[in-house]
Amino acid sequence: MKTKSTFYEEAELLVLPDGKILAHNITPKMAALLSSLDPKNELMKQRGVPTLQNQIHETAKGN
Amino acid sequence: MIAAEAEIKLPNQAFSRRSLARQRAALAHATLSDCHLCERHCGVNRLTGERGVCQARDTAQIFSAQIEVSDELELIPTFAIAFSGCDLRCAFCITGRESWNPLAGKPLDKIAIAGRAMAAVNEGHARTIMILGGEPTIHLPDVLQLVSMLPEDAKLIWKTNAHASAQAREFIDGIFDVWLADYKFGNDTCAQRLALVPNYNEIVRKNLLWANEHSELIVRHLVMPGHVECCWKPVAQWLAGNLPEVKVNLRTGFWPAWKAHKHSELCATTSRSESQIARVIAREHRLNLIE
Repeated sequence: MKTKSTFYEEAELLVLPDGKILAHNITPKMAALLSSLDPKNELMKQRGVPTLQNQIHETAKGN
Repeated sequence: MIAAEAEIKLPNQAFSRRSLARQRAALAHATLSDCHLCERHCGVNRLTGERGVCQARDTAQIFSAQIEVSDELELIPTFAIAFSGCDLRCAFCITGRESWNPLAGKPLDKIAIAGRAMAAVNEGHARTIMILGGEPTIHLPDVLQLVSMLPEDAKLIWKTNAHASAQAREFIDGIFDVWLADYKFGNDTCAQRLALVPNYNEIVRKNLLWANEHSELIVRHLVMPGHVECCWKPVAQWLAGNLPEVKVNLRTGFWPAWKAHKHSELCATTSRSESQIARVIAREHRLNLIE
């Protein structure tokens, strides 16, 4: 149940015509997604997030 | 105004952070009757419903509370608590809807939010707790109450526009481990035009120098399209001359949000060449860049 103090997690993306993606308020899950889209992006890797595969697995386990 | 600021007797540093925050919260709340928390110095009585530039009431709303990893690498993951409302009016604000409206979001449920923040830290999902906005300075009484419920040893980050008054700085002295401060405009003309704020540079510089003396300081600059020479260059020059060791995060991910369309140069993202020039300027000034 969503209570007064609970917020849905939110991150914002802006995808540019040249394929560049800008992101704001990146959650760990969003970082995992972005990392999977661009595995060579060292900056995103340094965010130290689990892989998207792990995130999906964890979500599935939670259900 | 100055006399009123001087009369406030703040508890000394011998207290724990939690008790210090609790005591100062009551004092800060009393000052809302003649609000001078930011350098607008509106002097309105927020306890009776008067509103200054920020439009804030006497109680805070928040619009986000979640774990994030987009801040500086040394601070993430952080449990970020975003307060609604701000004393600046940046046309390009990426959270303009919430930052220009202190009623956005939900009432701050301090016990619940403190509990979530504590859990995030204790369970290893976050290593810091960040208080941000909008601008949290305008909600100092509620911020201090919230801090009084957070663990004594949690690393607390104060994410600010660096437009606080001397009175506000006294209230947060010794409370936060890191000041994460924006230095947005390198000249007062751009500041007035894009954020409707006078005397910006003198105020921000005063805050940064103070923060550097009283806590760890990280300065952020968002490179805006068309503002490398007029804004970033003077900021870099000042930092090199006055805070040469300070950590600086140069952000190049500007996007034309909120009311940016009202300013022709802000209708685009920062170009690759502008980002490169900005980094060259940083290197020329031997700034201590961090990611």
